[in-house]
Amino acid sequence: MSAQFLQFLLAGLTVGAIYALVALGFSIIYNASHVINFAQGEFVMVGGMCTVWLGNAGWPLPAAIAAAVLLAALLGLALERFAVEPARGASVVTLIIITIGASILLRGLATLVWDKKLHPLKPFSGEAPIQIGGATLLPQSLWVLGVTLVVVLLLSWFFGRTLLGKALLATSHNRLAAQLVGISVRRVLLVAFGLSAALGAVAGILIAPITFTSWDVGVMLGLKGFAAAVLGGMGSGPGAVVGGLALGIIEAMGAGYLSSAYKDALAFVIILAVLFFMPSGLLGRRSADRV
Amino acid sequence: MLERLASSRNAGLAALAAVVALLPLALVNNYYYDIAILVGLNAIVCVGLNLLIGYAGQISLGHAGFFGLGAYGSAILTARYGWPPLAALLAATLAVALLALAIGRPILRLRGHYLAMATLGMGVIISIVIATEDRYTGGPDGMSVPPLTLAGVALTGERLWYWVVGVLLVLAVWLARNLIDSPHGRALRALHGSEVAAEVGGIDSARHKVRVFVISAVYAAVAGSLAAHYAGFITPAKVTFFHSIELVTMVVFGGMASTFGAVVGAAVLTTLPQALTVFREYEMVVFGAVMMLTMIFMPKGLVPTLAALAARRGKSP
Amino acid sequence: MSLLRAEGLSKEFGGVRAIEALDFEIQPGTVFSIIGPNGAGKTTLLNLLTGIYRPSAGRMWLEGRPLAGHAPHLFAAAGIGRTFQNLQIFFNMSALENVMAGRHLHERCGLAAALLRTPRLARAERACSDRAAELLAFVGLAAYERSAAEAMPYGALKRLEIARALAAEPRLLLLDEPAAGRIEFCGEDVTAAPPEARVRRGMVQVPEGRQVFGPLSVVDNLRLGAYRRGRAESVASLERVYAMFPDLAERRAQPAGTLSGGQQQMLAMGRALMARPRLLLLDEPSMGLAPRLVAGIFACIQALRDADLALLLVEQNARSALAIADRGYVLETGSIVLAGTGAELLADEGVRTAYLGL
Repeated sequence: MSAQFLQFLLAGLTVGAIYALVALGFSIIYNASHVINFAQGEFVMVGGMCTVWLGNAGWPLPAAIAAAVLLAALLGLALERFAVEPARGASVVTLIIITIGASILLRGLATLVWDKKLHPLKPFSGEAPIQIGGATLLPQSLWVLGVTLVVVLLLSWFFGRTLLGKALLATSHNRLAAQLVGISVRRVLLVAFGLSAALGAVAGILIAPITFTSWDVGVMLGLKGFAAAVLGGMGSGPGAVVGGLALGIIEAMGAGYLSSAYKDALAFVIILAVLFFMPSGLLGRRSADRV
Repeated sequence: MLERLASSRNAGLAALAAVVALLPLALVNNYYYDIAILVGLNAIVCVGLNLLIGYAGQISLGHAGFFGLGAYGSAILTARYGWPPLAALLAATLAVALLALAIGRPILRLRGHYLAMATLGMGVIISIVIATEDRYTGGPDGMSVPPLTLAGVALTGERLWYWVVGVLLVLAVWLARNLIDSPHGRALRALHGSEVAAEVGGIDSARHKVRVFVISAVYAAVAGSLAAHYAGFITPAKVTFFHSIELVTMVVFGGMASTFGAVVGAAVLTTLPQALTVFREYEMVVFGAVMMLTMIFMPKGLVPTLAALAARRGKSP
Repeated sequence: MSLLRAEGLSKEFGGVRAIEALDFEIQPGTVFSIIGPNGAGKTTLLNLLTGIYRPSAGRMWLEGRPLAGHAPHLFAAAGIGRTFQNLQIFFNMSALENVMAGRHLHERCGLAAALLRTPRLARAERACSDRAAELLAFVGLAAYERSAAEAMPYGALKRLEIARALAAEPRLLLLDEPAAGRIEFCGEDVTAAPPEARVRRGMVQVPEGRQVFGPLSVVDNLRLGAYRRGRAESVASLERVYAMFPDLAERRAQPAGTLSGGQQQMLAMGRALMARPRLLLLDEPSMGLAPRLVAGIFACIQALRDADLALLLVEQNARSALAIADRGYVLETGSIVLAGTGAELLADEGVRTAYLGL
């Protein structure tokens, strides 16, 4: 395997892991509420920016990270409680605009609370690159891949083995039946939003040492996370992971071998291609609609 | 029934024409004229977009892309190739219409969130291409645009442009209202009311959706060309996802399925950031809050909500 | 030549055969009826005939020309029209516009003509609206011409769909359950009537769980029962109710919430009687009451029946209910599975096992 190919592959996996985390956030919210949360990217931003800010204020890194994730989760809860809940049952256009409005609001708040500059975050364990088969890998990439793996494992444990996780899945399959067995749909929605926001924040924190963070870093990451979710199949957990990694690798290969200027466009070309030809994505549920 | 329709339509058009004609009395300097022109240009896009979103019940989060293609098309043809501006405008608009026609059929087979994301993707791809092909477009820094010429006379200056945009806005509204009141408009509204019943009644929903998509793209492209010539300059900032969202918000805020609502929405949300220049930092917060609050409390939009309130007030004994 | 011919028509949904090898012919100028219980496949058949579904097997011909493909608007152009079981009215338009929209196939209108509103288009629009008005009159909806569809009653909307389908001048009109979903009371369609309109016409309900106005006194509860009637009549009815329920007379000033279960049931019934109903609907009157009280309630119901009041009783206590019923219906998962006189049902084996525990 050529060194260059390996280099691209590793870079693609790293950013792909981030996309996977963001995509998981989209899928979890979509499953619980059938809402596409356009503000998902902003949770990524909050994670990174808050950690930087607290770190600069003297907090030790682990504490800053925990606080940032907690803040993002709270924002997720607030979004559900004050924006999505009041508009329950509204049309798709209405819900889209509400979450877009929320994302603009959050970005505006970010510029007020923090600033518009680009901020670096110190890598978790140093900057000395690691050599693997002719390619270089940043230690932070290992953190990204490692933490993502742990998160995915935790999520499968949560959804597969805890009652609360199963309740979330049950609600996404059949809301009425879930209510009839006593599952509080309101609470399920809150958990879904809080969890998704936390996932987004984790993604933002992991990637900040590599790509830096700023008030509007969430826009592109959010859109690409969405592309990954659609690619893998909206609503499918494994699909989000597969879609994220696939998108990251496609982007890296495209940028390396084709044109780096159009790297960002790839994700959107993929969205269009998937929606046109394979709307249920790679792993999504094929629904047999009974009219 | 038709008489009542006709009279309310004519009254609205007359009112708009009156506002356009009399507004200059309130515009004290060029800065205000500039805002009025921006309002007019946004309103033209919104009237077209409203046909798609309000009447046909679809959505597009990528219309800034059509606006940008119209603008850059005119800019490139006039600045780099020396075309006469009117010919460039027509050519750019035609190109946008063809693109919308080609992409419309597959895109409009989608619904709801998927349609939204596909149009978003389309818009972002257009904006990335524009920003990247800097040989033609001047890249992220933009490019300058020669003025619009009519029979050899260059149109410059805010006052002249005000009348150009004003007349075109009234024309745009007139055409849109005619379309809505025609069998085509009825077919669109039928589609929105119940797609299956419309189909069973003989309405080819795919064809009608694509047609209104193309018409709304044409509106956006024309407005884009005019904006480029007016400003003398065009940058990719006008072709972003955010601009597409602004346009949708204007339509939704002003009132869906209300042509005059689209104009009102454009007027309010174009002047609002100007009024907030003092609080420039708060602009995003206010905009986001406006979007959310409107959709939560006034989902039909400003004009229809006010109209419903007025009707109820009139009915109560 | 037959108007419509179907051969071997089948439709499958993921392994479930909704329609299997149908062969039939419909002649022009005839009425062809398809009947069957819910889930038999009637609407699926109509969806096949209008191009909403593509058949899994089989073929169809209209006037000898094959019908194929999956484009409802082409089936409509061929001459097939239909109405829907669940209303598919264009609620964003008026009644007239709904019918005008139905004439789409007969409106040739170019885009340029539409945008410029040529005089020829204006004439065509007038002709279209005249024709639509004629169709509305034909189905008896002339009065609703200018009404917004969303303000029209259910029965009128059913007829509006028919007018809209007729506007396309179809060769074959498919009607899906045109008369279904109606409630008729004394000859009037009350399907979409709000509760106060129904009370006014004489349909009054004694709700499940009594639902008395707790903080108000017994006499106030009763007076409110006669909310829609005049004061003089109300006083007369009050005396009658007190005669029927002496317990209520004794406690007329007491807050309704402090009454016992049985007394609250009497109050709920008395309150309903104050409205001078022609039909009294009782929902689980015996619920939560001691057996002695239950007997009293049922005696009351019998007395009311003997005084020529019509009663619709919904009860879990099958034995007592059937004992006094002239006619009974057994409902299972939303469908009537058994009907007969009270005595017949009491003797029925199935009823005895399922509901009487015998």
